[in-house]
Amino acid sequence: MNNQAHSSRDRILGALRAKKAPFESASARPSAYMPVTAVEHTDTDALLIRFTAELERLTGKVHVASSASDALETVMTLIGDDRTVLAWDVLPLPGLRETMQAHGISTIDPHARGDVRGEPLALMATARIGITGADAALAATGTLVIASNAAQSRTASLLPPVHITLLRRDRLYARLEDWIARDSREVMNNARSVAFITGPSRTSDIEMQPIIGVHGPKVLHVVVF
Amino acid sequence: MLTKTESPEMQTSNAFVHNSAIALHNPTLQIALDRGTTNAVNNRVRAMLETTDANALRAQGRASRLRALHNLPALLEQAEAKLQARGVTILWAVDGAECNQHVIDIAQRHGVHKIAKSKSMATEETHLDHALEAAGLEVVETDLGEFVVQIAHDTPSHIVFPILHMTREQVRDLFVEKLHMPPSDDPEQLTAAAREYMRAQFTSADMGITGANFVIAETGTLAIVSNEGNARMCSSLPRVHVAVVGIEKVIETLDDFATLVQLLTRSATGQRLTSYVQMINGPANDNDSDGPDQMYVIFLDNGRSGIYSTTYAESLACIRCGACLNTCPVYQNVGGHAYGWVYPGPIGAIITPLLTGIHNAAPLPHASSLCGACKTACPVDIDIPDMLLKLRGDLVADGDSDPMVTAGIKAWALASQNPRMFELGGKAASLATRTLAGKDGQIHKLPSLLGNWTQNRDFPPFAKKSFHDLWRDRQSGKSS
Amino acid sequence: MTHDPIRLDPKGKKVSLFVTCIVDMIYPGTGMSTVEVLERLGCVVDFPAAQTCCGQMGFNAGYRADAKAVARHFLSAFKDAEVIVAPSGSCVSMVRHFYAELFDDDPQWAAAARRIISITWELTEFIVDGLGITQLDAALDRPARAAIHDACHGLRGLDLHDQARTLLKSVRNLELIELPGANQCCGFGGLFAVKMPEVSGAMLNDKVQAINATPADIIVTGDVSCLTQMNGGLTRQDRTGSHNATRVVHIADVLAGKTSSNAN
Repeated sequence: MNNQAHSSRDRILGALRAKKAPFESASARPSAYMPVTAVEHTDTDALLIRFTAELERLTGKVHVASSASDALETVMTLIGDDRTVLAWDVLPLPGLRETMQAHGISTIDPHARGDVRGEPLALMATARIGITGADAALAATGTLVIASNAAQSRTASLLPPVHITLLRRDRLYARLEDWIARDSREVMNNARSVAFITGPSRTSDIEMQPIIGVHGPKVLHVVVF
Repeated sequence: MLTKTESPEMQTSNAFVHNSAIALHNPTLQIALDRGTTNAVNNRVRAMLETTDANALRAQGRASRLRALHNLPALLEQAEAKLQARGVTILWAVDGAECNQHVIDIAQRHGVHKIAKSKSMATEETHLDHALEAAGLEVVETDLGEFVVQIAHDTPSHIVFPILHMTREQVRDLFVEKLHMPPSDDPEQLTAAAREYMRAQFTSADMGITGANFVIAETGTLAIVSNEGNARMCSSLPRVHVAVVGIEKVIETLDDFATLVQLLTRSATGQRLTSYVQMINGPANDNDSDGPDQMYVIFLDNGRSGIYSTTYAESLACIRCGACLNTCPVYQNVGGHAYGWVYPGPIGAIITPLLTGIHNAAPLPHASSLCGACKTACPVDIDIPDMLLKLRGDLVADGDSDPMVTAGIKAWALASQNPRMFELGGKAASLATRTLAGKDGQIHKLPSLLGNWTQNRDFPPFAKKSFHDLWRDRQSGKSS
Repeated sequence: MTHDPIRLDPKGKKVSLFVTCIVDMIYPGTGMSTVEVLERLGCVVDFPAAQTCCGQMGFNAGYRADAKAVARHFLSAFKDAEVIVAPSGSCVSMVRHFYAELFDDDPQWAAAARRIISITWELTEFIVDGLGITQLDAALDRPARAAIHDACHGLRGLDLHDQARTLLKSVRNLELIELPGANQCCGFGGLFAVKMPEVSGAMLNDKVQAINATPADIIVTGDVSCLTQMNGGLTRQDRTGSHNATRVVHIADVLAGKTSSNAN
């Protein structure tokens, strides 16, 4: 009991509570937060146009499919001659896993847990392409919201130099603020990691010149269906 | 006030005047600073202009930070509870030594040999890398800028852009030497060399260490803002993830987060959002296919609680965007290293004395013309000039001032309370300066401390007749 | 610096000139120009002769007790003033933003300080915002291209910006052009200029280069501290480097038709 009373936790919280807390007159939480970006038209078509424009200015590539089978064809074209890809166990585009299998494309199932990770990670790192779905997309910033879970690995959107995202068009939101207001809490309750992905990886560390493709993917394709 | 004294070999803040003069005479640095800060300022201005209402958003962001600071202890507890419920181990560190020891203990507990680290200014405060290496652990900085700093045995000179002080040619030379890269100026080649080297590190590291930009109490979430992908690597691939976070980083809700993260990205790099914003709620779930098995969060105090209930509490609202650095004419000219510690620029001039002891950084509050550009640029509207002024007052009150300046101020104060003395003093100065003036009517050299003025500019002689004289003339002219 | 306190309507009131110590001692002609401009607008101007200094120099250097003593003298010198006008954004910023901090918990002087804060104006804001006058009957003594340098304390402390531009546009013989980086600090900063002369000099050099790159004949500013710093750099440049006849002039002098603030 004595040790606890003098624990670092107690010392720090005690120091914070020792005197009157600052900013008593800080204004109360607003009933409505002002959003950072303006989005005029929020119908799906308009959001798709906005999302595409935003992502493409960041060198992302958006492929709008006219149907599920059209989407399948697009993905197969993007895979090209690769025989191995890194992919989620469960993908939102029906028939994709079967089609890949039929074409002799094997998927590395990304599993790197426990103490022995070197081998599986090295294997995953050999794939040129990673294929995932997305929980949501944010039009105003060209952002994908990708949560991790048992069937949705983190590495598929991280290790390979090319990342293909399969996005259902009904997952488009206007902005980050809108997704947070509507669906965030459920996703955040269930997923241990949620990544907001806005374009390929980049850096401006060398003389402030933007360079695409550092540690994360260099090319980002979003197939919308 | 809890003040932490940095060991003298590490911190060089008290040599600011000397080091800034060196910086001013370094042509390569000057080129790098010019390019870097100009781009950064332009990017920020453009990105903030396109928001719905930049000033209203700054006020909204500021209110979010101040509310959170007001409720800080309770929010820390709330975040702690939520994270613990998901299997995160929360540790608390009063100072840097304790923080470093926690990390070493975690590494030993889990048989860690190799650590991949992404950027964290808090760990620069604690000299974590040195401590880990001294304990026999291998640490690789994976952020490109921090990696360059590491292999150059240098220190970062900016909160967001660690190698703002380096030209592309300097980075090239370093990579050629240390990574055996074929000579190339092309930034793409430089980055590709770093990517290849780093891949091997990420996939073989036992532990990943990151910082966090925000801790959201509502959901128990760490938010990490990055562009390169290395922070995601460090928090996803190794079996142990350790996050070191300053206690002031906690905010209340996801709504607050939406405003603040976008103010941060727009102000720091001019991006609507960075390539990656990772929200971490805990270690991997039992059934997750990847992710760390163990996760630790270390809440770092290191002098922050000592600032908390003081007149400087507002400095804790900082979201570490670096906008004040980029826009500060002093920083633009001297760069970050002259400030002598982890945080340079206007915010650094405040928190360095507060965190390391005011007498270990006495010149820093004076390293400013009080132009106020920093306050205008700050996305949460922190009144930096006001705190610089208060720190100057603290220094004087504590006897830390140049005796010649003090003598001058005392004389000025005395004369300024006595109109006759004031005018007589003016007459004396007028006689002296008119005697010193050259043929061109300017004074080229003044004596003593005032010689610091004339070392690089002229000074005008005082007028023969003061305004007081001219007014009296006018009045007597009128009445006659 | 907090949000700017409310000022009382100054129309029809006697104007007490707060000439400021540097104008008093080094640029008295600028003080006379200020009087001239105000009288031409119909103001009755007096000059409380006991005035010395607002205390800013000591305050900015951290000598609060000394600054307070000087500020107290200021409050007495102006105790009968109805309206106070000064040709200086930085001195007015000192009064309006920091006198509250100095005197708020001083039972003897708090009320006097609050009153003074509510009646103190910088010259251009007094004319445009206070009196509502946007057109002056003024002409320069010779045709000149002029560019404005926005002095920092006035710009960021008092929101001065549009007023100078409005007034200069109505001065005949004056062609108003832009100074790139008009709101970039000249490097004066009070004692900063002598405590950190190299840094101050580097900031001055950036400003001089910007001035060299314009075709301006004069640079107009509202603070003689900036003026002294910038002219000091320009005359030094004339002797040691390239020649540029451009000089900085105080806006009060320009509004009085002059193209020089040189007293001697």
